[in-house]
Amino acid sequence: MKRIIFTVLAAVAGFAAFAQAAPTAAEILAKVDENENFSSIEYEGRMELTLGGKTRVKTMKAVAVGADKAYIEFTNPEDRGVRYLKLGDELWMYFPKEDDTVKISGHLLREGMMGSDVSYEEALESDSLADIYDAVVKGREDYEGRPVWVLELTAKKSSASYARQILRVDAERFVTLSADLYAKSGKLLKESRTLEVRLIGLRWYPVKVELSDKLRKDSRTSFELVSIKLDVAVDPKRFTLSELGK
Amino acid sequence: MKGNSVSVAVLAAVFVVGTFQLAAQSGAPEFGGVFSRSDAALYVAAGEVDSGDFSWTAASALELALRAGGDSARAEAAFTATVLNGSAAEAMIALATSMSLPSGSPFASGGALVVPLASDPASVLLLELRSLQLRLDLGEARLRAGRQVVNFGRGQAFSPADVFARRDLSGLSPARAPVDALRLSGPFGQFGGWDLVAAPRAEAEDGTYAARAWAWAFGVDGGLIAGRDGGRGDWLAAADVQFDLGATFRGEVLLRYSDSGDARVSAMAGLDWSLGDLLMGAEYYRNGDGAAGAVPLSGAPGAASEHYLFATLGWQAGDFASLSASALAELDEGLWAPALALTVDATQSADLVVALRGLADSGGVVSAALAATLELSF
Repeated sequence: MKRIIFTVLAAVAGFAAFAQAAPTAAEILAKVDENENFSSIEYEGRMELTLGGKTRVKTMKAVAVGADKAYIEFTNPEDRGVRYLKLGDELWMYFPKEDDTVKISGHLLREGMMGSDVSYEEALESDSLADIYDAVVKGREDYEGRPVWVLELTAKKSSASYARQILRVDAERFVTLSADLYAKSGKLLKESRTLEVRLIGLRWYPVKVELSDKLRKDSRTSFELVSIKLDVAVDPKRFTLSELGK
Repeated sequence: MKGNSVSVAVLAAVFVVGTFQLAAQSGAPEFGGVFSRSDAALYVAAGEVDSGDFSWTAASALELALRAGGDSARAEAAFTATVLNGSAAEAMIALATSMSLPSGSPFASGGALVVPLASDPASVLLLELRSLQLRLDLGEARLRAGRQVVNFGRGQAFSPADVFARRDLSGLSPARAPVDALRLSGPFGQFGGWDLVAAPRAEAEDGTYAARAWAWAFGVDGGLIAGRDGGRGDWLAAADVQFDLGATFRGEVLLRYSDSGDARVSAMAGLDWSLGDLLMGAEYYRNGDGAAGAVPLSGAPGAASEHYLFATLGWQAGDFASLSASALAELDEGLWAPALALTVDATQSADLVVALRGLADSGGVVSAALAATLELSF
């Protein structure tokens, strides 16, 4: 799973639908990337953080254009008005009470976004899977009652968030249903699972995804798209630093 | 026409136009706030330690925020009502007595309206308007009129370039105070912008007026400021910069050039970085502005010191708890104000903060406070 936050929280989806026949991994990944390539998206989301049996809920409104531009505003009481702006590989955060805009860079990129299991580094990853990983099809199996293609992805770049990924892609709807994310040492770092898929227009989209951090005990973050609109008109000035602080 | 009449006329015109625009636009109002209760045990050194050195104070505060409007016009208000008991209330009542005010009369103090409570002579009510502003979109630009926070700086504790927002270091975290102003802002492409801000006073020529241009390019955030502080008869020029080299570095410099030809320079340099779960930061402030640029420690008025230091250390002590330590030091006088705070995310929308703060000089502890605060957001 990639682009968790910004391309559909931003792509609660980072998972997307593919075409029916996917005989090679390269074709499957191309279709994944093609499916994620919406012109714009507007959604209301809900993020549920579970740590050690305790749960915290954060809600947000967001708009994104492609994978490079995204704007999120949190709406839950304790974070009301906190905003994020992603422009390419850069990220800014705005705190309304102090009228303060902070660039998320350097050491801050390793922090979890709003306390979630998604780091800012992961949220900023906007290259296509095919650009970052070499992929092979490992087989076809049943997963949670659905037929899936199993893909193994190996990082081409040292800058990739994970050295290896195992993806399970719905063989009929072509939605990624799970991803196991590994470190270079082979240690399982995170798991993501698609909990709900919905047909939106002609695309099957994952609308609820759960990510668990295997390095933290009983830690998981779920993202749910409460409402979603695709290919909506978006005012370009929304994606400016000046607008973030307004 | 007198300056204050001009200011009032401009503000009135903005509010009239804005009100019509607001009325013409639909949009559900957003309402929220924070209720907090804080209890603190205080110690103030006065010779030999005895029971008279110790006291208790409490504050129950309700902060309400309301936002309403549509795509091109929006109104926002934030209001805080705080009931003080104990020594803080006694200090307010003593202040009223020293001002020879009739018993029970409201008075202004530190930007708040203080209202003695007839029903409880040992308590006072503090009313504070933190924000009351109208925002209008004017093409690419946006106009904000009313009480608002105007942030022109990058410093956490010290920000000499922040010519509008006075820093309040009396709490656990540095905070910016709001100002009554007109602010026109707009973009310079995706990564930059400009601001024109006017904070007039009763006489327009006594107000503060400044323009800022800022941008992010090649990994560096930077800004330039020029303005006029009419109240002090100073022309202002400032610059700020921030960049990342593993650690994040930031700096500000402010030149005040008075009508009498006197030039004063203040500057700040800081950085923050992390090591595992530890977050660290430090700032140095060189005050070239005498008493006006002095930093009060622990809420006490500061001397006109030239050198200040602020350091902070934060540690995520668990999934729902964090520990932070900070210290603010006035290097010339040898005063320093350490603070240690444990913040627990108690439940959804509720935080509990336990903090130990103090003020010390070369002779030892001057004062200390142990406080517990519960905050509920809604």
